[in-house]
Amino acid sequence: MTHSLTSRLSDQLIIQTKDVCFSYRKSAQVIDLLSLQVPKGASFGLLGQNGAGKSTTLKLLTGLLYPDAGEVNLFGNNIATTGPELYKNIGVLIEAPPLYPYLSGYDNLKVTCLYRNINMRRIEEVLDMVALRKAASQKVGGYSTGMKQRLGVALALLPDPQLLILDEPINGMDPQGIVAIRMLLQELHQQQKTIVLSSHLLPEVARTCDYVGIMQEGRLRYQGSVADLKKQYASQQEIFINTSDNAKALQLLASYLPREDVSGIWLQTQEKAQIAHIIDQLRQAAIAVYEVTPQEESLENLYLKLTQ
Amino acid sequence: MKELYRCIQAEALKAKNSYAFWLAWVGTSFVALALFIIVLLDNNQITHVAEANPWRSYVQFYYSGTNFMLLPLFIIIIASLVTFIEHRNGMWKHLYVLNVSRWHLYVSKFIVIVLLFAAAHTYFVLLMLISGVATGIIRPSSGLLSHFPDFVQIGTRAFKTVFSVLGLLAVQYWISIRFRSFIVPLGVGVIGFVMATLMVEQSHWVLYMPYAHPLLYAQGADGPIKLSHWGPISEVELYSLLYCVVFVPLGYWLTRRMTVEGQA
Repeated sequence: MTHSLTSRLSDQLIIQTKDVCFSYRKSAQVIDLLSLQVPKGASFGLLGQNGAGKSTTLKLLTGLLYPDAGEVNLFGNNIATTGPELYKNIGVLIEAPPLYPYLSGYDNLKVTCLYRNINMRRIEEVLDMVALRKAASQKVGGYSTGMKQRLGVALALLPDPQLLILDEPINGMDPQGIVAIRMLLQELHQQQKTIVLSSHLLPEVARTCDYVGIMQEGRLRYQGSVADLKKQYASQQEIFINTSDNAKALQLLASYLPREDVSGIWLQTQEKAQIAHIIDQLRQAAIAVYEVTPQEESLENLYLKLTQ
Repeated sequence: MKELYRCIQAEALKAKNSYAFWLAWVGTSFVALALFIIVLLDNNQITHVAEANPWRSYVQFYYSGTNFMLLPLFIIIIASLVTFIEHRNGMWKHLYVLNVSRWHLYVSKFIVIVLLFAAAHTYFVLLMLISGVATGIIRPSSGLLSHFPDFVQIGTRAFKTVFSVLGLLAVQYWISIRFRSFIVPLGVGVIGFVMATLMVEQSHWVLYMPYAHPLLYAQGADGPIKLSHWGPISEVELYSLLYCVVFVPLGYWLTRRMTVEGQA
């Protein structure tokens, strides 16, 4: 089921894992023969239900866990044999944001700047990026969940990383915060940064990511572009039409398995080319066509098709 | 070295306003205040210190008070608290993906714990001197205002006290890094302290026990226990230093491959 990224393999792979296996206990394999490939500049969404192995995968990618078998390469270097300098261009946020509650937001960022040898001016920049400048002097213990999450993202952005790994980055955020982080990720994507994120929120992944990996019970069921996923697994194209005589159109287009609601008629087609044929049929029957809208199959539907 | 210096700066910033920081200042202030009240209320103590240079006895009284109230338990709690900050907030997930060597992460935290203890101890010495002057004013018969403190003796003792706890700090630090629960290092520390207290005057093996080193040094300095010396260094300081030199790299080696398994 795994679809290789043949079209992008000539590009540099920022992340490449080879047959990685991992288990917390001998009895239960959490990650099974994971071979993940993330090309440079991709915005990669890792999907899967609870316990599918998403967070464990991200921990393996960042060297926070050691694989039982297989290898993990970042920027072409095996992380097991490369020193900490590998992390210079990587920003990471895994699970809960790593913050010291008794320090201010600014001081939390300053701690990481000191460790990473980053100019303190960068703190103001990342505070602006996550819209936390006004709250920077407050103690983090008084922050809301969404503010803590945004500060966690700011920590990951401090080194201006080429690779950004975010585990559930919009967890606990309000709609405004979600939109702000979405726009930020889209902007970073435009700057050719490689982004790997896991999320339960499939519509958000669909908006942010051009590549996805779908995990189930520790195995990678699919990896590749969202467009390829739709090509491969979207078996039918749904079309919405609205006409001058929907009742007559319903009878005329019976072969397209139509269903009607108050807004119009929904048809099932095998391919987009059939749209022209439908319009011709309606015109020949002297029915005026007000609207024809092909409906994209949602990532959610595709995800469910693959995992059920 | 620059990376280590930056790590120490980061650790010092993290210590600001932390539980360990407040314990160091509040705990030290409390112990110094308690000793000051005892000196004021207990006439015998005043009589006891009234001699040729009463400061010498006064300093000895203060240090004997720290044997049980400040030194071993204080060290155990400080070392545990500094590492507990990282365990409680799941900070290892952040620290281990920085472009910083794990050795520098390990050793910088240890250095800051030592500096925190040294700063708290310096603060204790200052409070001791201030309360000595205050005692002299309130009870002129103590003679404390008629003499100058022996600053060389006080400075040497303070320095050697810090020296004598290095081994205990290294052992306790490693345990508190290794075990995520605050209870484990605290439990081991308390058991070690109780055993050291029971053994201190009964077995020569106690010399090899880092939990006994602060007590041994204090009792050696005050007279009840005779310690061998190599020049200016007593055997307790030497063993403490040896423990530190062995346990800091050993502790690092034992935790260098630590993962964040199961850490929320």
